[in-house]
Amino acid sequence: MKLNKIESFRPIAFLKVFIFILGGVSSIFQVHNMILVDTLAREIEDNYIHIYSFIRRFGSYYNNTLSSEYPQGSFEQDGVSILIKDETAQVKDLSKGMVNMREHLQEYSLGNIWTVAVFENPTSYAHFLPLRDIYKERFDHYSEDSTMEKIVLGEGLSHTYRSFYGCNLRISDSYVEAGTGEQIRTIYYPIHNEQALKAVVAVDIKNSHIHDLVSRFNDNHYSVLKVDDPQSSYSASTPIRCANNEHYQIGIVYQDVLKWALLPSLLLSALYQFIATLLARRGRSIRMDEMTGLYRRDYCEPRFKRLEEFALLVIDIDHFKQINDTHGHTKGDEVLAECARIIRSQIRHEDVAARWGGEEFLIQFKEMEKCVLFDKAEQIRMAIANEPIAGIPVTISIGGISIKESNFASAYKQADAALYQSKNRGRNKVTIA
Amino acid sequence: MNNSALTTHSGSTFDELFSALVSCFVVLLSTTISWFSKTDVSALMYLSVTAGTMVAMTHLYGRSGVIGVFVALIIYYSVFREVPSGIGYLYTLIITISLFIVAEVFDNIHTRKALSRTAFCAYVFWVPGAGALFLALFAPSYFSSEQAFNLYLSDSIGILITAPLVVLGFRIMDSDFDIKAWLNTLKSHDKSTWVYKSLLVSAILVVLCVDASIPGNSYHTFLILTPLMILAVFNFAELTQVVLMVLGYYLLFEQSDLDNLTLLNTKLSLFAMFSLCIYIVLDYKLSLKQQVQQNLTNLYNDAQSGFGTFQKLDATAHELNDFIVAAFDMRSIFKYPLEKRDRKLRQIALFFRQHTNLHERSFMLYDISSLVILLENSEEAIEELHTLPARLSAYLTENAINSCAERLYYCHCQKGIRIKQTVNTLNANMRLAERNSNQMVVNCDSNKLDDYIALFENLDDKNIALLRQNYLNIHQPERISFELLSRFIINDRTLNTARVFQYAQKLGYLEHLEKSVVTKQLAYLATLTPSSYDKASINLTPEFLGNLRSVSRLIENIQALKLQPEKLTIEIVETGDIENPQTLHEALLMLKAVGLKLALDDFGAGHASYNQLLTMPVDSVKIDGSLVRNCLQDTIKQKIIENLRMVADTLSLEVVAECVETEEEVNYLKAMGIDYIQGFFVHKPTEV
Repeated sequence: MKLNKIESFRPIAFLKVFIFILGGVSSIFQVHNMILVDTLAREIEDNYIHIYSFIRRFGSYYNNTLSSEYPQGSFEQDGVSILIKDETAQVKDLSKGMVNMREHLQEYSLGNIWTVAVFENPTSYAHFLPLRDIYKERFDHYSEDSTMEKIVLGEGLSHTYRSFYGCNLRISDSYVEAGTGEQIRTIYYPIHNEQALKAVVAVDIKNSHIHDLVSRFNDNHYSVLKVDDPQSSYSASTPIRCANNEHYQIGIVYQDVLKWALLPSLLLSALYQFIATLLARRGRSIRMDEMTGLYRRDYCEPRFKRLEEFALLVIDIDHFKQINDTHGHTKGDEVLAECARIIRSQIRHEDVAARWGGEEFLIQFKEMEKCVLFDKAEQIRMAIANEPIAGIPVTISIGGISIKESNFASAYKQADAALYQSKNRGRNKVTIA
Repeated sequence: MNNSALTTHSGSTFDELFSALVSCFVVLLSTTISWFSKTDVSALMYLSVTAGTMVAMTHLYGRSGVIGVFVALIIYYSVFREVPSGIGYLYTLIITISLFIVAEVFDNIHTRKALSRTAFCAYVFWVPGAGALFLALFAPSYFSSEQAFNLYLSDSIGILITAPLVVLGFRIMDSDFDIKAWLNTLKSHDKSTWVYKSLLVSAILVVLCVDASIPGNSYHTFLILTPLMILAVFNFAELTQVVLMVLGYYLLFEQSDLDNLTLLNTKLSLFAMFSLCIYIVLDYKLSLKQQVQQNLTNLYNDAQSGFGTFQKLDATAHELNDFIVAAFDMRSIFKYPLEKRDRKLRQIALFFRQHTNLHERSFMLYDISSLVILLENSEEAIEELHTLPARLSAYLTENAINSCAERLYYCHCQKGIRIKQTVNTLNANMRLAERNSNQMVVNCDSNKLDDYIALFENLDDKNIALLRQNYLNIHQPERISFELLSRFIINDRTLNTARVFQYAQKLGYLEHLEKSVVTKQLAYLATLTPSSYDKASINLTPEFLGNLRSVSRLIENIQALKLQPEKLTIEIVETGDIENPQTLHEALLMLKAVGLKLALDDFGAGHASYNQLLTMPVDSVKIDGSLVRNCLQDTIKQKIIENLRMVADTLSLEVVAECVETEEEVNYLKAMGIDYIQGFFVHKPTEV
């Protein structure tokens, strides 16, 4: 038979529940994040593929655009700036396409496109969207033939038209743009026509691109993933498509996980505590006697009847009727409650104390030997007799029985007879049958 | 006694918070140990001391200890050693939860044996294992499997080594540890043990100092140290061994090991195995000790009464020098049925526990029905003893236990005395005491019972001297008749014969005593030529004669010595009530059938009266000395003698008069027709 004691709120117990829930919640969240790492990697890759494929489509647009003659200088058309080195040049009319491409790319890259430019080969003129002062300066230094060729060669893009697989564009390492101080990567896409390099499309993407992607992902998936964070405790390395063997790390910083888990755990443990207390209180009103805090007889009796081994004490408050008569019923109730409290304080957790009748209590001890039962009964008797209860000297008489292979009715009968003996011997006595 | 059953359920929130605080503080303190290490590798190792401390706190304080550990680790990782990645918190959470689980499991384990096994597995394998596993799973960037394994091993070793130490320390602080007592136990070792132990210690120290100082020689040192440590395990207290293990721990690892994790792990595994072996030996030793302790407790405590047992008395008395042994006569309580008796004894035990400080030194001896108490030999102790019976009596009355006041006997004792002997003396005193004396406390040093008790306990032929008193056959004076009397001598002191028999009867030695005497007497008679005497009498008690086995052995003895039975008279002595008249009668008839003569001794004294005369098949009757003495002056005595003579005539018995001391008496008795006359006038008893 196991009857649980009800406890009042204890900070340590609450903290324990909180730690367990925090551990559970943070573990689940950590696993959730760990699972999402791959999804994020795929999403980033998809994003790049999308951007790349859009840039590639510019090739055919370029090849099929008509040119018109422009004099030397800089011009602006639909927001696209054209810088022309030669005195006159046949300039392709790319402005609309570039604006269109930039808009599209901006959408995919979450607004992280920095500059889109198209360089003619040889470098007679170039389109910039937008044109920054530094570009003008730099463009003047580009020698007529070599710069674009060098870039294309350096990125290994010189003969991409020979095969239809692999990367025909290249994303550079991250660098800081001189003049603007912006952290960017550049995507170079060479446009070939009739086995000759006609132009190079350069799209600058801000480094924050990937971070924005991750934040969007985190927002969508309730995760706390990070990219290239040195603090991450769990990380997966993913190569950047069409880059020079460069990787980025998608990782989880446990601190973030913990921070995320803190509030839900707190709420959950508060909820748990609340429900537990509620349930306990409900159960308590069924099991417990309201005034004394001991078990109720009608709750205990059927359970006692199932037992075969008893170490019973029957306790009766001496002259309780007189206390009621002389001091009033309020005082009597006070005495009852106080006696019950003392009795509860003298027994172990696994022992069961019940209020059996008006001023009669019954205690069933778990696994207690006969000789110890007597000592225990004496201990309880002394605890009550030693100090005035509610200002009145109160004593109790105790009758006890320790018996095996018996039933409750006979055990109780014997204990009650022992109690009667204690009463007869002058009260404030212990008798073990 | 099952003490745990008497505990009450307690543990207020305040207590819990306090123990949490203590454990928090201790764990934080343990992290500071790593500050003192010289190298990184030892710093790493010393951190596992913290793991041991955490486990110790859990073991000592349970759930509140775990909370303390949690708080301490949180403080450590956010103040002393910040880890921005939060790995520290992860570790904290895992360790706390696994410790909680362990504490929860322990709450549901009740048998001691299972507890120690589970504790071992849980603390040494589960806690560090769970910590390392979760770190490897959740933080692979920081803890590769190799590193996690390293963490597991060092934590496990740390727990194995440190946790028992810390727990031991706390236990010692908790129980008021007596340094003096401990030193005394140290002193009690004999010389060879001391030499052996100090040799062992110095050998270990030499190896540590000399061998370890050679750089790069630490393996060598470790190898030499290993057998020494194993020797130490078998001979030293746990503490020494653990300290030695820590030293080994410090020695075995080098700074360069940090670069090669696999090598370090291999070393750690080996060392963990070694520590495990030592732990197992220790555990075995400890459980053996506990077993012994448990057995001793069972042996020393009487579960029925709550007092100590004789074994405890014996052991306690061994340690005392000059002391008093007192014994409460509990015979009145032992007359009750078992259950009632135990209840009364428990009540008395309660009195001793609550109202005196003698409970630890009180012992219940069932075989002599008394409660024995050992006290210091001092004035106060004796004074207390004198008040004790009255106080006990008052207490029992107050608790409505009807039991008459018990008498207390005590005597002084010196070291080296066998307590059994003293207790026997007290018991003898108890039995020999006068029933209705008012004296409640009896000092047994002053009375001379020791000689008697010594006589009974080691009765030897040499202690018995035979006396022969001839007496006169009035009708045929030439025929020699005599009575054989006995005298008892111990340590050249002659004891009062009447008392010897009286005491022997009370203490239950009578049968043995009479057997020895009668054997000696018959042996003496066998040395005489049959013609040299006509009638020889020996005295025997009705108790002796009432025992058919003794009687038949007596008859066998007489026949074996070829004595003439018709010359032998057995005088039946007066000793009070006859327990079993039927058997006695039967035995007397047996004796008569062999041809022996019977006489009723001491007629007129005590119970020896006409009733006996009429029922016993005697051949003669002896008038008691008290009737013969001064019979000339006392007409009533004369009448009795006259009367007896007439009765004897009717029953055709011979009459013997004892204690005849003057010629006038002889003449008077002759005139009365008495057949035999015995007394100083006729013959003084002479030793043979």
